[in-house]
Amino acid sequence: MDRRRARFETLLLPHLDAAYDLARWLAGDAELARDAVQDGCLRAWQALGRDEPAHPRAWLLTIVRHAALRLMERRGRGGTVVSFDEHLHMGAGPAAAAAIEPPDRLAQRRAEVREVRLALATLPAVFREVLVLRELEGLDYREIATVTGVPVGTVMSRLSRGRARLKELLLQHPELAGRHGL
Amino acid sequence: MDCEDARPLLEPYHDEALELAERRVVEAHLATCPACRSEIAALRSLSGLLQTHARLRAPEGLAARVRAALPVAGGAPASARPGRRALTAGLAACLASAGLGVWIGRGTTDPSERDLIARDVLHAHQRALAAPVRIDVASADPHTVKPWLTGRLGFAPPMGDPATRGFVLDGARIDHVDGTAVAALTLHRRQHVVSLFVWPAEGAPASEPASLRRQGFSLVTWQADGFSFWAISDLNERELRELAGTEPPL
Repeated sequence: MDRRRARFETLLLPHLDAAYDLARWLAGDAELARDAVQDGCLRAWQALGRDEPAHPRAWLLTIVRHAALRLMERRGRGGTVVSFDEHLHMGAGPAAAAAIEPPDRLAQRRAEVREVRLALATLPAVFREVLVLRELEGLDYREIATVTGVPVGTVMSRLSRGRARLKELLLQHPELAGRHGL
Repeated sequence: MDCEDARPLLEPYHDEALELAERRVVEAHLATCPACRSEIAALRSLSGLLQTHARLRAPEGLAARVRAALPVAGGAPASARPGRRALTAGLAACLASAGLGVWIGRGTTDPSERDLIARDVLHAHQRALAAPVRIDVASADPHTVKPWLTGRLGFAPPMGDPATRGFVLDGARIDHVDGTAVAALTLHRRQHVVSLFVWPAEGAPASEPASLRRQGFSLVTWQADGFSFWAISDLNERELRELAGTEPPL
């Protein structure tokens, strides 16, 4: 195995889920997210010949984010609000458990997943992307600043406002909010 | 520090973005302020809820598509890799089974036994990280995962709800430690993947968690309720130990 491929495998491929998650939440569309990840990975591969990324995950996410925004623009989806396709969004959810999970529990989980995802999808993109990077992918403030290209202070205020707005939306589902201590 | 000073620091505190000195000050305030404590609790709930309900995984086959799209430049194709991995794993299994067969069944307190099991655990975790699919039953719900494991292993691994310890359950698979089939749970905290291996160790006394380090990974092992537990992750040792927790056993 040549060296670049080895580095690609060990440095970047472990972050494929994170890259897809970000692209998917930005685009609201599974196919566009897949294309963005593939496009971004190819660019990352080309850059890997020249650069030695100090923070491979943030580096890959930056590239994939640009790829997603470029594709969204090209396909006329540059708006700030993601269209929420319930069917597609449920695809990665608890469906795999359907065969053995008791129906009432499954129904409740499905409803919860739908409510949380719909709330997140409703947020303006600038809030949604910092929430995804921090809450779902665990990036620190500085990494989020690198990926989104804004100062750390902006990251912090967007995160704070995003959380407040998301919480407001989730409080419209009292059962969910109660069960999860919001 | 009063609430007015503490409020702007609560989110950075929750996000682990404070320096040690600031963190101490916030902690001192939290110890005396129920309102700020509940604010922190709400932040934790929101984070947990998003992690368990909103995370979208890459569809199966995406890694393969990405690999296939890369230009092949003067090297062996990616398909040459599993051979080498299988060889390493096979070697580890041979080394382990040469001297280890009897220990699995009774828990592990002897340091040399521990070393050999640690090596198997490390290799199983590394295999899982490298493989495109490391989960056979994907569910965040212990009530789904446990029956799946029980049906395939012939024992019922004790499982609390990892969420109560701040870990998100991703699912489980069967793996092998010293040629014995064991329950392998995959969990995560933030971006850190955790593998937890569980097998019966009848007659072994309950033990406090013990920590090891191997190749940059933290390992924590403990015994409870007649079972051996081995957890491994790139998480720091302190956080990984939280998985052992107190009663009931995970």
